[in-house]
Amino acid sequence: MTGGGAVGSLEVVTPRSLEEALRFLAGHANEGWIPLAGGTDLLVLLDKGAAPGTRWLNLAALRSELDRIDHEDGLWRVGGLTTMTGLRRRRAGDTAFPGIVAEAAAVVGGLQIQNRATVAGNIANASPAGDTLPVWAVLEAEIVLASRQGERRVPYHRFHRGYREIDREGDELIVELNFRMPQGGRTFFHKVGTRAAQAVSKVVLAGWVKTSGGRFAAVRLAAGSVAPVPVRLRETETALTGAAVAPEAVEEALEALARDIRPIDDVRSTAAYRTAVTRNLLRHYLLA
Amino acid sequence: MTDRRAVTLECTVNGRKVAVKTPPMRRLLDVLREELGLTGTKYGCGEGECGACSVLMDGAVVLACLVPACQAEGTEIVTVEGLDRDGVLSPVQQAFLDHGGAQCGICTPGMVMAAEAYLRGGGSDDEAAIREALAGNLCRCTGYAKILESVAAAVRARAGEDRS
Repeated sequence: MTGGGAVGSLEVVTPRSLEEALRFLAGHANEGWIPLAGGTDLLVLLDKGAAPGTRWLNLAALRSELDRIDHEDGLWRVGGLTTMTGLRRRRAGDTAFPGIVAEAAAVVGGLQIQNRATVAGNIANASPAGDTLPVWAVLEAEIVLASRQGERRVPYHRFHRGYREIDREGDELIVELNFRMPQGGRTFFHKVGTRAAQAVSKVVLAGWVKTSGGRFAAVRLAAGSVAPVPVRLRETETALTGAAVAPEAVEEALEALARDIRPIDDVRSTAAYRTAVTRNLLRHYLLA
Repeated sequence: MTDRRAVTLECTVNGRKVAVKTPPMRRLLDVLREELGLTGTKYGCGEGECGACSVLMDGAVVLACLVPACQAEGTEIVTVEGLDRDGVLSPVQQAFLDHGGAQCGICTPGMVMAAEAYLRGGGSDDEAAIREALAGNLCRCTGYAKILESVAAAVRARAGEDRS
């Protein structure tokens, strides 16, 4: 892709505000306009000639409205154009902000990617390997979509409907993701990739567990790269809840994992490896 | 109606205001290299894996291969050509020269820009922190030891300047 040619045929509209963007989309909902946030996934596709369309809605000017993190009565409201760096900075300056979110943001590419990649972009790109996605699943986040009709709220676990399929209408933009930190317990996050930075994950795991009297009182687990969409490990959660925090009981509960995940062999790893590593990581963090 | 297939990108590059007519989805990398003749910024992989096209945009290190021209509008870009002051190399550039931080040289401008962002952000000479700052940059010659040494030296040189 150089000066002329294909790139010269691409159309871009640059609204100056969210209101203007939504008005534009309302009038052009079925024309395939692709919201362009940080572009860190979409420009790769464009370079390969695999972009999902030729019409781009440049959201750069919406940053003043959508690059923000608010905290009200325990509810964290993260604007859709908040970058991975923005998430990490918030945690660095405010320990109330959940560390697990910053941990996930820190493994998205290198700093160059983190400075551009956004919360909404990572969700909308809908890669089964998206690094932040298991964290949103564990936090039971809510996605707020806006259109000229108003706002629509979708629980995170219903947003990814199938492989790279999302619950977004052509006239909507993801404007916010919000969540509450569950009370007490502890969180964990782990990404397994070929190297520490820049790698697409083989397995990415997030969890929150609360124990009481030597037993698992509440468990939330989610994993990426082990199914067509990032998945909550609900069968495993159920098997663990009430089980003793002990090697044998955990091992028995982890038998349920096979019903939660559907890993495949691909260029990055094998189904067998992904299954084994997910199980090993869970064992490690559950008994930590 | 405004033209959706061409924009006049107005931004500041290395302290100089520029206006370039370009397709809006053209990569900043191509605008810098082909329109502005700033070939110091390298085209390595074109997909955000190697870091060779790292530049500063409003002070943050970004990949020029993943920034479309339309999103550079109104920003301040600094490329490797913009680091020296009247021919005097920046502390990072001087340190790479002094410590053998460059081998074949393709990754060097990107490494230098990532290091520049690290220094501007107040980074220390802690090796783990430097490694993280450069984690998005690949050196196919695998000359990492010298690169890390160079950045640590630049940090110390800057600290020396601050004291003087």
